[in-house]
Amino acid sequence: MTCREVDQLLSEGRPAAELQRLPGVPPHLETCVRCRRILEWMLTPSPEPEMRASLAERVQAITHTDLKKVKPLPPLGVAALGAVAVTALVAALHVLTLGVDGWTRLSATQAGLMGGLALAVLLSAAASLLSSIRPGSAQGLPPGLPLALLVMGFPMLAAVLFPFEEWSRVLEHGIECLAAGLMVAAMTTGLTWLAARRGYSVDWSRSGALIGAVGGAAAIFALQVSCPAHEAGHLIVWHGLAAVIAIGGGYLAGRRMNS
Amino acid sequence: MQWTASWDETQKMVPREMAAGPASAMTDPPAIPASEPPAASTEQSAQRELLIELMKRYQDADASAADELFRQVNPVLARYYYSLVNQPGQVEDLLQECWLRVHRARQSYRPGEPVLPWIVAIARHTRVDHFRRWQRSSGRESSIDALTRHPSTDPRKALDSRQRADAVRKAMETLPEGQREVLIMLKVTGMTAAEVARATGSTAAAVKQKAFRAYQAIRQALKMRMEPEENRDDLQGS
Repeated sequence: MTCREVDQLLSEGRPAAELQRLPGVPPHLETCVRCRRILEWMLTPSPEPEMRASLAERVQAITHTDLKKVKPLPPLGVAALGAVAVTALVAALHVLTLGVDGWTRLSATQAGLMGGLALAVLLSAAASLLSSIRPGSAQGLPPGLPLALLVMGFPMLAAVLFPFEEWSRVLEHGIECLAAGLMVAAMTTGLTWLAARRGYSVDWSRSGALIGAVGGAAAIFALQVSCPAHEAGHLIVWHGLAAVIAIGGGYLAGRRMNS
Repeated sequence: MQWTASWDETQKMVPREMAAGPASAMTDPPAIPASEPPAASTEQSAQRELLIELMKRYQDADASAADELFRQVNPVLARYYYSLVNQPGQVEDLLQECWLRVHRARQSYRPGEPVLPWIVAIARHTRVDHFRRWQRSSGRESSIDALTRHPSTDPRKALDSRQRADAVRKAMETLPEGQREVLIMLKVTGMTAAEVARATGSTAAAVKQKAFRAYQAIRQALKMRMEPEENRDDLQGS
């Protein structure tokens, strides 16, 4: 047994008392003062300050006064379905207003890949958001995944699937698309925010950015359905900008909640 | 021999199920493979199950479960806070605030999941908020002086132990905040690396790496602090 191995065992959270009894450890401790000291420190009970009895009474007053049955947050599958339903609802409202000109002109590959990207962002954002509003939950997906998919994946996919035309055409109808995209993002973000408030976030900046990502995914999907301008520059600049603003807005709102 | 004395002393402090006695432990160690992940003892598992059950009843508006949960977890939280904030008054404020948040956030607990990481994550967030407010009002968080305060009744033993623990405490003060917090959680709350990862919103691998680096840094700091004869003795060990 070496000091490094002792450190490895301690790092796993193995109790020091149990560790002392592992084969090979006692002989090592006989000769290693530093390991001995670390284990002694681990075995020394941490002090517990004396609390006034009134603390228990105060906590009891808090818990008993307002004690109602609560429904736990939904499991991942239900939360993901909820995010998809909210997005579908807002996108449907958008499409009823602006039509489906864009979708009908897409090829099967374009429709499949752009729809798939929006769904992937939506599902990963819902999973990360649920994890961020449920303290002590295991980290599954990296929280940056939906943001990366939206901010980097969307422009790359648009550049591959759609042609680039003159810059003058990029600017055409841009503001209308941005405004419509922001409207969709704001509605989706607002509804998602209301649902997320049932949870407890230890970092609202992160949760806010993820809520913004749900809104951003809804925006790029809804715009893809309604917007007939199938030009890579237009998609990247105006549709992408709506998603980036949604994420940034969510982040800033969350940061404000943190402070 | 110095270690035998320390062994006797420390065995008195370990939980009953662990303290099989120094002699039996030294001569007849159980064959637990070093690479195996730490398995919770029966008592620890029972404790975890109890907390899960209490939390479920608490969500169902059972007042007695709320009281019992407080009784079971508050000492752990008190030690955790006291390890970081060396003032009982502040610890009490933090505990009250934390329990208020636990109450308001109880729907965010998912039935069947470990309870302690959920509560410690809220406790940690409460402390961060408290620290921010305190910083604004020009306060300064004290270090972990209290962490190693020793309850022994024998003054000579207490002094020795205190001095030894002081060396580790001083070494800990030099650690980055993240590493120090991980070590305190592992020691004070008794959570495993995977549970600490849940409480800190990290991964088990990252927690293990932080703890490993922290132990290595402490070891290095101890090497510089120790007496020459102790270092000589130590040469055979590492």
